[in-house]
Amino acid sequence: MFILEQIWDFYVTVFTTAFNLENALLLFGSVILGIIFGAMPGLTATLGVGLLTTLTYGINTTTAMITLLGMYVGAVYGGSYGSICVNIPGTAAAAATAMDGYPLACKGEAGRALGLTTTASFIGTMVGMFFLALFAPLIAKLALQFTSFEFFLLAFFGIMISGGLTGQDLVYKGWISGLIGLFLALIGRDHLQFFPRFTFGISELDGGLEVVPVLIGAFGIPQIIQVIRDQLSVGEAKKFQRVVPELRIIVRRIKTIVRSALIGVGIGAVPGIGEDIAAWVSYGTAKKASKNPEAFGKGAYEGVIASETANNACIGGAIIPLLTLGIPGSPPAVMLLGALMIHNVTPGPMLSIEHPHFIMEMTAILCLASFAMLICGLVLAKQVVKVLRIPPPIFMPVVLALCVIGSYALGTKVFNLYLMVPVGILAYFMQSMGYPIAPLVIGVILGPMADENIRRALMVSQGSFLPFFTRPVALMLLLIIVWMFVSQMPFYKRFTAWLKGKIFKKKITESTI
Amino acid sequence: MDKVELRKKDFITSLILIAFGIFMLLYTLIEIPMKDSWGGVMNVWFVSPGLFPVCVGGLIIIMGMVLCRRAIKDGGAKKFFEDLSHRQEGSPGKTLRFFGILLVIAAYVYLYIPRIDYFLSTMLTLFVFITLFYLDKPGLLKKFFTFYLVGCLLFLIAFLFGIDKQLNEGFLYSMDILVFLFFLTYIAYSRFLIRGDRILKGKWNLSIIMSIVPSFILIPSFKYFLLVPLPVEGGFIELMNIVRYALR
Repeated sequence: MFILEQIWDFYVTVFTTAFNLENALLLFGSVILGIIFGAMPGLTATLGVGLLTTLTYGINTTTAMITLLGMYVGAVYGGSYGSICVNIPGTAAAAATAMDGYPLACKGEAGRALGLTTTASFIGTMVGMFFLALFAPLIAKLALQFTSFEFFLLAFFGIMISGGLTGQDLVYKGWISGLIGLFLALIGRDHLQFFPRFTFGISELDGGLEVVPVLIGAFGIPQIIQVIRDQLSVGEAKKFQRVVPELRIIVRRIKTIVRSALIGVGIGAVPGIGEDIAAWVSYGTAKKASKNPEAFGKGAYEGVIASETANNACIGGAIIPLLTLGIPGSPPAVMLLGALMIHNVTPGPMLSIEHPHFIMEMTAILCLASFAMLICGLVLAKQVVKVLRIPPPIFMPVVLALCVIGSYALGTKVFNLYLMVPVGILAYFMQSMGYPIAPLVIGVILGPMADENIRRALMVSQGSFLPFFTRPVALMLLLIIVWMFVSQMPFYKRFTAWLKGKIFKKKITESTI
Repeated sequence: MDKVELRKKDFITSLILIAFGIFMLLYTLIEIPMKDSWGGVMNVWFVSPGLFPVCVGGLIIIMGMVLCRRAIKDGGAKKFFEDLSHRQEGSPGKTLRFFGILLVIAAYVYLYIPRIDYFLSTMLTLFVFITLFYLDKPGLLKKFFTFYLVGCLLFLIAFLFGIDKQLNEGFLYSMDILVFLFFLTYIAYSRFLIRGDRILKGKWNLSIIMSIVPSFILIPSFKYFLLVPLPVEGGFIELMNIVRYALR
């Protein structure tokens, strides 16, 4: 009965959205905007979703989600245009696509490469959507059993894993970034006793830092500074006649598609890990699994298909923990979380009770967005490529104006702008020193959850830490967190090296005997 | 960035992190009640609002120490002390670009938006930002930067000494007019600097268009469609209101 209800919700949303002219126009408009955003080097899906969030606060939740998911899907896909046509990935998620996409374009196969990325992205999004429909209600039901102990550990786990996997230089730089995010989340009155913390008498800080200006600052300002400072220039786009969806090539590489989609969904479901990591892991796996790995980097169809399927499948994967646990799976999903908060929808285990149809609505919107992306991709590719000619010093100032008005408009407070700029500059310096930004914003978002739940949990247990060890899920999360932390410590590395040496020595002695 | 250079920065960052972590711990222990009563509620340590900040502060110190150890091990500390005695110059071009971006953003957010008509602030910022980096002729960036910086400093002095309030008392939009005159002077100055260069002239024309058109789309969209009251609605927005209500 439950399954039938869910399927019914899905089709109702699909048909009501598809046959509602306003929603359909918004969907196509946001997908096209997303493709343009994704295609332009320097503009990311995260920034696109963030900026669009500020325009949606006046409309109803479903319509807002249509525009935001349309932008998300379009931008992740749109990144491939820059990769294929000018060898500059529009988004980090499309960087792996450039490895084979550009060589294909140089061979005069730009149209075919774009056709493959369009089809692969469509399939990837649909697979992600399927997993969202399948697992989100189950995880949501399971999460209802969670108590404050699990939620505290889950929030901490989200920050730790996102920090651990996104740190480009040292793993603990990701954690430091997460801890700074947690500090930012502490500013303001605490939610249990309303005690002001780190406000220094500034009344504007009493309510805490508003999430959206922090997100826009952390993602937008560093992007503007980096693109302008490093004089990112775009070359002449490779020409192509039309986008050809080659079903024959796709069918022959179905194994790669299925593998990449599963990788994408899996990585997407891990908190804070974005589409870029999914694309690279999938690309690497496809290369390893290929009978012809030397063709990779020279224009292999598998390379393009693998990265594009994975990065779009990641979208569905990233929405699963967002809706069921309130923990965003990727940076654009962080922005979606901000948007949901604005619309008074609190993602987490209670979502399926407070808004029973919401998960299926999101699934249906994702399905429609992937169809809209397929249609727009096939029809408008030639026109979209023209936006690659716009030089960054022209569009980045406009992005700044959008960031500013977007941050201001949410609370109509100039103070939000005063906040956005330092956060942005901090994020820029952190980024330039190898600190990932995703854990910082995840820290800002999950900080209150971790703070409230640890205190609630200890209140229930009267200060005893024992339930952390007696509750199975809590224990499992605790062990993972401790292992993640300890495994990066020098003494652990020395110990494992010593252990490996011992075992190796023993094996050699045994073999000589 | 080369690894030793990165570790040098890590060394500095680690010291900042340790200091910051200590500050967090001290602040929490001094300012936030751990066991005392607050608002009629008698606290115990495990419900105290200071519990989580103590944990975060402690973890920041630990992470700072781990980072510091790594930076020392990889030669970051040595490089830091070496560089203290032999100061190295960074890339001047990139540094100027960086400060140019910071100047534009800081002036927009902290100087103009809270005091000057939002439309005018946005238009001025867009034009300055685009001309600074789009008209990429050697020497031009420095001239534009200096000109804009001087203008911003003059306005800053005016705002700090309350001259703007006195002027606005005489005529409501005096400061808007002054900023608009500065905008016109900047336009004239930039046009003067690129005289004789056809390519730059084309770029300059585009800069004008790109500073006006987005402002005309963005600001009315937020003001009239999303009904967002803008930070300062000065002379220009008042003019927009008159036009809008005359058309309705």
